[in-house]
Amino acid sequence: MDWLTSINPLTHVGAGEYATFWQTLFATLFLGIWSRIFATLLLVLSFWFGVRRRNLMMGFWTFLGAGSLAYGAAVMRFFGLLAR
Amino acid sequence: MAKDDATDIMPMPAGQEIHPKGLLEAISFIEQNFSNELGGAVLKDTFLTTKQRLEFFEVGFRSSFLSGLISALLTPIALGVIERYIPIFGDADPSRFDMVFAFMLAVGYSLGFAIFLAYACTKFVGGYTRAMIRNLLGGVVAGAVLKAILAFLGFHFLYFVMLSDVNMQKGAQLLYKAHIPRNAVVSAYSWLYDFKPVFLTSAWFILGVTLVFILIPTFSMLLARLRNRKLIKAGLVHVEE
Repeated sequence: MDWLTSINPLTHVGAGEYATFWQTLFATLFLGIWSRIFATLLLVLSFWFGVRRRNLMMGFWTFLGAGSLAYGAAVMRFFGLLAR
Repeated sequence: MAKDDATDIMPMPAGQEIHPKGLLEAISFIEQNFSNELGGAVLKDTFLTTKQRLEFFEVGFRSSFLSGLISALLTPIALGVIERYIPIFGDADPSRFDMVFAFMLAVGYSLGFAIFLAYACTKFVGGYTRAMIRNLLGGVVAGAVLKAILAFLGFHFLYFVMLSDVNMQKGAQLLYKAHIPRNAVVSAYSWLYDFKPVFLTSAWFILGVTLVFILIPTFSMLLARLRNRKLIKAGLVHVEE
């Protein structure tokens, strides 16, 4: 089936390029200054939503996001998904 | 023409009785009745039935116990970061910012929840809302204390029983038998051996956080009581004792 083949990313880019894309994305999300900035923003937002706006649902998800960014690199490395 | 027989007594149908199922619902009932009391309604604390008191207690207990468990689980991870056993932002040697961030993640949930409750605990002026808040806060304190006791015992159990030297050696032997590479077993064993005292630190840390968690809404309730005395003294609010 052609349409199934067309949604396979390896028909459009090479395997190496595809892996590099994910490595760069994970590295940007979980390592370095951008990770710290995103995580801090999410933690501040969780307080803003949870305490100030009293929107507990958004407070919970933003808190979970901050935790995921902080500890995500360790988990990704454990599963061998982050080479750096 | 209808006869004007309006009275001050409005019997409340059983279906309109308040039965909070969750924390937000309980707080919204408190806010509603606080607004009524400020507007001049005289609502005695006996309006809150025993069943309703238990329901407010239960809601407070459940929400505080569950939120406490989340922070209890995050505590050994955060202390592991500070003691340099667990990497944060992929860095095994955390900066001061990273340590503060890990600490905020560990206590942030409890702290935010305590501030959220503190706001609700100021919403009383008469006996009715005071009874609601007392029962809600009673449940919150009971849930937090139970969580602290369970976490304290649990982390000590982990250190002294689950991760005792004998059990760790047995675990390592099982991993050898499962043909896990020797290097991986040795590094996991030594990491766990170094890490396990963090559980004891976490146990005591949770006791401290729980104390702060209880003190924040209790203190705000005391401040609200002082505010109420001033309002009553100034004649701005009428409350029947």
